[in-house]
Amino acid sequence: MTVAPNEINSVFEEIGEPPRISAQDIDKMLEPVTAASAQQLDEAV
Amino acid sequence: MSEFKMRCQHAACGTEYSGAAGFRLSCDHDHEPALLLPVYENTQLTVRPSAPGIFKFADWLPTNGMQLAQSRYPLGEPFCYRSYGLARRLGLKRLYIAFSGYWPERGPNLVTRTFKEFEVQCSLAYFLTSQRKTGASPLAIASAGNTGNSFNFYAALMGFPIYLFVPETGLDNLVLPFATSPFLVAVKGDYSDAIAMADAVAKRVGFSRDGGVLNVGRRAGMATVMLNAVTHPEQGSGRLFDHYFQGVGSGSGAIAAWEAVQMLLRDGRFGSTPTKIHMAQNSPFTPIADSWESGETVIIPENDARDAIANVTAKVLTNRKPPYEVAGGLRDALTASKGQTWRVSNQRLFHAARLFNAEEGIDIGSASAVGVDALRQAVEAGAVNPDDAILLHIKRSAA
Repeated sequence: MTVAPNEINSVFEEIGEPPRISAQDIDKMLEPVTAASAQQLDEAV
Repeated sequence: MSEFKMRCQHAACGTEYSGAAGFRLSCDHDHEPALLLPVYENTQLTVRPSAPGIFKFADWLPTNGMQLAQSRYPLGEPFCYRSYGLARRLGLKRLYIAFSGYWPERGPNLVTRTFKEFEVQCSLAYFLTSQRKTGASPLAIASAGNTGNSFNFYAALMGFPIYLFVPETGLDNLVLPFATSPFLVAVKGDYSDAIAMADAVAKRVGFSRDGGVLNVGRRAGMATVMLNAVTHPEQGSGRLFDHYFQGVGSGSGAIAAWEAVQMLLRDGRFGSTPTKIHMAQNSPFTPIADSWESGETVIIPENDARDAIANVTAKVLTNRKPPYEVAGGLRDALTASKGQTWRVSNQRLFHAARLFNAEEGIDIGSASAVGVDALRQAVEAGAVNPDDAILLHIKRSAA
């Protein structure tokens, strides 16, 4: 939608009831950083 | 994996907050505005080449050992190479180019074409890790276009809902290789109008705000450009640079570069050179250069700002309220690094883009061309020496 700064009420109306993201959903979006293959920089440079 | 704290950068405060205690954008104490600085337990960096995207540098990211889940697109990662073409034209012997864009023939793989991918990867991971126990509300993102495009990309890959507020002039930046369905508000006005509307909507509806430059995750993500350029065994210089050049709007990328330099100095394996941070803006809209040169924060009156912004080619460099005075912000980065600011006209910007294409073989965006011309000016002015180690950040490719 395209709105001017003074038309913000139309944004509220369009949003309605916003969603909420559950803790379980968040867990699916993350994983532990790969620990393997760490590179020691004092060997690399 | 390294634990971290966040330290208030106000000179009279210095309060530290645990990085495991949730999403935090500011200090609790009553004083002038100050950025929080992430301080990591591991003062020496261990790179993890097999980790995706910027999470190679997880030791120095505020994500508590977590990364974004693997998806159907590889996470974008920083890329750097040593220049010979542009370096020769400018008479420089040790010019490195951090190329944050899409150039698959050479290596860079950012499908959104900008370094904003790095800040979004980290910012999103920081936000999500802090909400794991409670769940989260959607994020309201205000953007001149590039940040919004990157948030849209990673939020779509993760299945996280976002609400984008973008000035009409930034809509052309919202380009992805697949269809997405964010809640998109095109604001009639400039970037600052989009920020104001996102703030108002978030406050009323209860959305989360990512905090822009206040977000340690955003800055830590962008700092990986410098970390890669210094530490990568093939791409990097192996030592801290004498100079860093970048076109700036809010300047958060330049602040991030300086924060990376400070961490690398503490690491101790990359020399003791405090890299000078050079920030360039597209005239006639140059509030950061105006403030630095006048010695006081310059607030351009709204109508004058709108007129100036209308005459700027690099629209993504037009933040009317850059974080100049805030402790740990632009003024502090320029002061501590002995940096400089530069102004680049529209005419010189186009010359710089053509020069870069001729010497390096790829089109770059207008914001990147601003950085290229600043480097040319610095060479002409004798602000850099031919033997200096220089990092030029191409923060976006044209295609």
